[in-house]
Amino acid sequence: MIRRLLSRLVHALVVVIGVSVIVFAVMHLIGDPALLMLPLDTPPEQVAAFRTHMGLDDPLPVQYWRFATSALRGDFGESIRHRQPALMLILERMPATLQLTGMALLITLLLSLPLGVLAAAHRDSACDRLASLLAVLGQSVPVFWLGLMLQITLGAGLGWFPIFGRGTVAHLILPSITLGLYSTAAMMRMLRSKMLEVLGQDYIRTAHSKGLSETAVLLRHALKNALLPVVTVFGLQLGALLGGAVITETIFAWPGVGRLMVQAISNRDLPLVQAGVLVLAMIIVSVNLLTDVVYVYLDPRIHYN
Amino acid sequence: MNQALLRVEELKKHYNLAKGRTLQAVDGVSFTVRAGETLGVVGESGCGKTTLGRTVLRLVEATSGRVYYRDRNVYDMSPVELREARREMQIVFQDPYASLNPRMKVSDVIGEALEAKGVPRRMWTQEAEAVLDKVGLSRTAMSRYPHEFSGGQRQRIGIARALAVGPSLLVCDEPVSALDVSVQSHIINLLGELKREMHLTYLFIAHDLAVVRHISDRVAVMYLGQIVEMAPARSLYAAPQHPYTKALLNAVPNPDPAKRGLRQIISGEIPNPECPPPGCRFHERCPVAVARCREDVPALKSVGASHMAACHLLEEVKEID
Amino acid sequence: MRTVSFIWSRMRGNYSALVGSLLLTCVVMAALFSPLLAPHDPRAQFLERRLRPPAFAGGSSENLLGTDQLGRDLLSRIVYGARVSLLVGLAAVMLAGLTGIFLGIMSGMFGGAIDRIVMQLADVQLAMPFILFALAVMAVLGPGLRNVILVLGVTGWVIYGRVVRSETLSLREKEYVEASRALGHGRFKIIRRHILPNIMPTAIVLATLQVANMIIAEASLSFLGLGIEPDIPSWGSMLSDGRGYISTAWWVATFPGIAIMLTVLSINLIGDWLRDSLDPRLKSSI
Repeated sequence: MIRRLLSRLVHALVVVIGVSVIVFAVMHLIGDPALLMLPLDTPPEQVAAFRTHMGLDDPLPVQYWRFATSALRGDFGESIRHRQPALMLILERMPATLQLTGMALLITLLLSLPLGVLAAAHRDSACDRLASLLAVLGQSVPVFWLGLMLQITLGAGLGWFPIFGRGTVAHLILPSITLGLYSTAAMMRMLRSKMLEVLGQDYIRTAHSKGLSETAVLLRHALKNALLPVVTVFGLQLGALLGGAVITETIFAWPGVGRLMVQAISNRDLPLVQAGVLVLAMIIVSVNLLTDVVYVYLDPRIHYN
Repeated sequence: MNQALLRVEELKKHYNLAKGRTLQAVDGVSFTVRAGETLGVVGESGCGKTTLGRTVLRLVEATSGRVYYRDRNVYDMSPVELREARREMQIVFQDPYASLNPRMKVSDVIGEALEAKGVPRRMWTQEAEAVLDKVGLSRTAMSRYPHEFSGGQRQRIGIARALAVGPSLLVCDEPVSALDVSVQSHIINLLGELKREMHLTYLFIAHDLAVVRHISDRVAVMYLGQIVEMAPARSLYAAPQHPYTKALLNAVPNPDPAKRGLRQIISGEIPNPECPPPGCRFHERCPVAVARCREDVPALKSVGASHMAACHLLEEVKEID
Repeated sequence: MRTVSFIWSRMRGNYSALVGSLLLTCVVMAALFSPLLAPHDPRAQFLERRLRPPAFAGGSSENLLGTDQLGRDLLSRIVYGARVSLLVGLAAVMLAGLTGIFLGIMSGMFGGAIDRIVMQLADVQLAMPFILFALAVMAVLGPGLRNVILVLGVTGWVIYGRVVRSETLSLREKEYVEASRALGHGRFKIIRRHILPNIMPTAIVLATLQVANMIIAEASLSFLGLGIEPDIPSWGSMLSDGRGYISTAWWVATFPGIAIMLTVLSINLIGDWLRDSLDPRLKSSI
């Protein structure tokens, strides 16, 4: 058990190191960081000075080592545009992103749990068909378009909710619906197929024969067991959710990490981009690690492996 | 004097399992097979006989030991040499459903073998039809897929594939145990005819003694990764020495249903091969075990003319040769 | 012809697959014959006809779906936009599929260090939000059709790699693969003869569903301004144009989105049907 957790921990560390190497390689091998960060008409002597100042003349391994060791100390470099430590900028924006993704996750669960359970319980009924139609529609709608449509109808058209920015609870509604609907379809499909799998098992028939009510069987036995595999894909879903947040935040001018990243990318603020990708990857890896632990805790069979 | 075509010495295959446990699937097996001979290998499922067949062909790497084919150690061969040697050593698999690629026509299945043999492509149809004819399938089979055939016919296709490369040694890994009883004898008879016609040598693996009775010249009985008795077929069936062999022979189903109730079944379960019992591995189930059987491992020794067995209760006999 | 009628007979019972293929046929036609179908030059600007509403909402029949902020005809731009979406979708999936199948088979067949490196790389990529990573690479490479295909293709291999690897692992234990080894065939011949043909159905299903995802990804990149060249009509960049007019000219952002949605929907419907009929086991994993 402890050995398993330790090996997962080592694996997670290797992944984080891998992310840092890849991000670094993309920035320094594919492009010339100095030319990327400076305006196009910068005179050559200024470019050279900038290179020396940023240490871009050193061999790449040396540069990576410097980047990695200072990142370990919590120093992810300084944003070119904001002239502030990159990590600080990211952490400042983090609460907004967490609020948005948390709310979106809540909406996803509130929609996909009942829909998935209903669809599985009444397999091939009209309800099931409607749910799968909604699911395939949901998977086909681009997040950003959904966001725009909500802005046009509920925002600009009816004037019910503000379109841009963060502040009141009303500001939170449209962005979190946008982001929440994004992962609802995938979640619902998954839950339905896992529920159907579980409902075919012997112990469900046993539960029925014990005279438990349909609802009790569904919720207490089937759902509990179907949720377990769903928990494991949560880590993967989180990556998609944070990716969706990048777009959602941009549409709604939500002052979170995603919007900061898009701005940093269009400003060619490399240190900020590097830091942002790395911090988000660390969050995803930690959540994956956590779901692993939860999984081991919930499923007694795994203890022996 | 027939020389040894295949000589296996102290062959071992240990699988490493989780938490440092090991499974000794094959544990120190030695035997020889002379050219033109059929050696039957019999044992209950889980005794390591299938692994033995695979390690002899080096389809599975052995943990230690030596396998000489025509006096050359298969385990000393380079990959190129091994590929060449494999044309002479073929295998017929147990499950005729799993051993044929469902997406390949029969002509492609045989073609794969002919390609390995180095037959030029223009000769394929002719050669394939010839080898299908040998196993009793018509040329119309060529353009059909495996799922269009019965189990017995599929096994014939598998045999044709093995024969197409012109082997001398054929490892038959329970070739009939997945088939209907009515078809089993057809396949065994076919293998017998092919052996005479093509001068083949068989290592014939089976899980009960009845199957190998008529096709084997000699029979080896395996229990938990080791050979416990090995003898010419006639003497093994007439005068089995090892208690395990005796029990197995009693377990051979009696063809007369009225007498079926009389057969004696070995008591107890096969022990977990991950932790075989100390001493003689059979002692827990042995009806005649004595105290010594729980401590000392019995060695395979001569107990009659060419008759070997591993049991403390048997007298060693000097072979008169 | 026989396969066509076979597919047709299988599809008839399934309305969603039928609807999907009809929709997709329309999109493919639009892409192939855009110069014939589009009423106007998609790049022609008529500043005096800026932001005209669609014909059914008070506009003229000259611009059926209205015009954008530069007076360009929306319908024509949408018809031409089908080209970019389909091209990027197909090319990126091709690149991702080939990379993923290659790495997945290598990983599954050879195991050991290759397997560890490939799977580690997959985990590393999964740890980065896809769109963010693609954006970062686009920022370095610069916008452009070729770069979009390259970025989506290179980042999209992971799903193929994982599925193909696990398929390879189970295939290589099959007895017919063992038989092939016993005949003396090497690993590359086994891959060609036994592994690849048996992986194809899964790969085709995956590829179909991935085309849909790639089209959305291209639209997202173009929407964020880091997609293809701004002068090529693309549904993503049209949506991005429409962002500025959500309260004054709703149609600019609405119609390109409907085009994306219908295209992606048609591909998803066909992909679901293909999955159910070719490889039902995939249902739980995709």
